[in-house]
Amino acid sequence: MSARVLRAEGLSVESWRDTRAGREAVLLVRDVSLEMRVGEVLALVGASGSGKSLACAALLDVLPPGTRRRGGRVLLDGAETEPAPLRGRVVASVLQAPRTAFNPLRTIADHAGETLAVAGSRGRVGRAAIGRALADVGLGDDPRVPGLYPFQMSGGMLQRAMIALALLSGAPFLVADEPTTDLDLVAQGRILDLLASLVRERGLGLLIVTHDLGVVARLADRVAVMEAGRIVEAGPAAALFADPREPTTRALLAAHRALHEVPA
Amino acid sequence: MTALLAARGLGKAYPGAGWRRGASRTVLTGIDLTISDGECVALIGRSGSGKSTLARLLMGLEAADVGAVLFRDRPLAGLDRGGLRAFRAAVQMVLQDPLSAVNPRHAVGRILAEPLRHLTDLPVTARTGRVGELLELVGLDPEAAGRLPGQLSGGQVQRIGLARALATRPALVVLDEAVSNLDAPRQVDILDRLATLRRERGTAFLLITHDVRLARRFADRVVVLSEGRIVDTSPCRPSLALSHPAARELIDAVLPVSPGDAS
Repeated sequence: MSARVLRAEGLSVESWRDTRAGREAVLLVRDVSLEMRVGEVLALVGASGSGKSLACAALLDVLPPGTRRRGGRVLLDGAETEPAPLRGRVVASVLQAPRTAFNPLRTIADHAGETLAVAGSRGRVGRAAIGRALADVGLGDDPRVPGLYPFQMSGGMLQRAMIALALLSGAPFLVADEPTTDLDLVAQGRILDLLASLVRERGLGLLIVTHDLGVVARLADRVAVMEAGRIVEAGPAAALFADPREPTTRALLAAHRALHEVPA
Repeated sequence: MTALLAARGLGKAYPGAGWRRGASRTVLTGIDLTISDGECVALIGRSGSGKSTLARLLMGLEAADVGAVLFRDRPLAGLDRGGLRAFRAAVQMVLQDPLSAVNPRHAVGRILAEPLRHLTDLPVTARTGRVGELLELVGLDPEAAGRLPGQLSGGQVQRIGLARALATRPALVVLDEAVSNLDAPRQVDILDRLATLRRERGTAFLLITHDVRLARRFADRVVVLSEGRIVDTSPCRPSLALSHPAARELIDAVLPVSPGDAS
């Protein structure tokens, strides 16, 4: 019995600034609802600073200092739950800059050990699981990989390793916040292929945050477009590309298409 | 067209580090590249192909082990003080990470005035006006001169870096992945501004990127770097004709325009 739908409803995130009159709340994310379904890819799109990452952080209950969640709830298969216990069990995450996400003094196997400890397996069973997860992300050919430190690996390898750790947790859902932004296009293509195959073959439910509509076109089933902390448009990816309704979506699409043009 | 900046047989290796000291790593081999006045060249390649090292050598920030960089047919290594100053004013660079390329404690106006102070004969009184012009050139409000970099967005700081590179009215601007990390609307905006500048002033550009789309949209010709060597080159119009596997790999990595397209 594994979860099928993870839904965040009406998430709002606020920060605050001190003025002479006292504290003044600033809403950074307003009433955002996101639904992740197993075997599907939801893309959250928007310009830098539109609140995409904060919305995900609110979903995972990992908001940065100086911000807090105000309102909203998280539902797993329709039942309201606390977000914190879901993390690493029901929903795993892959972060933007792989080089800062790993402890530089720990090997990949050390990192995997922490994930396994949460899942409750260790020893030989754990080592076999690590081997399988690394093989699933295309790092299985080199037996030295578990013993490598982050600085000995390229950005693409590290991002694969991070996805392997996410798989190791066995969580049915994955939140990937700009997972390919720091990689070159060739490495990006391979990571996207990997994510697509995990969704197709394992029924992973993926929420991918990106500012690149090319990533959306490659991967997404559904899209939500954010601007200034709100979701302004949402729907199936094909429909959104064919018939964008909001000015924000149209502007993003126009720029995306312009990049593919070659001026005469 | 005359050769503005040229690389002749450049080679560069870095000594090994850590416990493998001694085993040096060759980063560039036999690089020949000529950029003419007003020309726009794109240098494309994967991470680690040697793009940024080549940029540093062309800028004179590091010396090559073999070969020479020629600025208007004179080797950089042989330039005197005055020659170097002219070179620095004529060849400018914009870096990838905008925030680390500016002093966070200096206001934008001071950041933009710095090249004017060191590399031009512009009198102090004229600098403020020039800073305002530069800000307008990159589409920023002249009032931004009083702000600190931390008070601006990443895209805005990147435009500050661009304005600073344009301050001396350079003949060539090297853009080292300077637009790669911006979102699509900002990329298009900056590329369009640079194209205008090219038309109006005849500025030459070396665009360093891993994104074939940016190269194709902006450059006259593309040069492909792989494992420290130039492996392929092609004009952008009528269409890119690249055949080397390293080039094909970059072209094939371009993501589809719309869902369902076979990229």
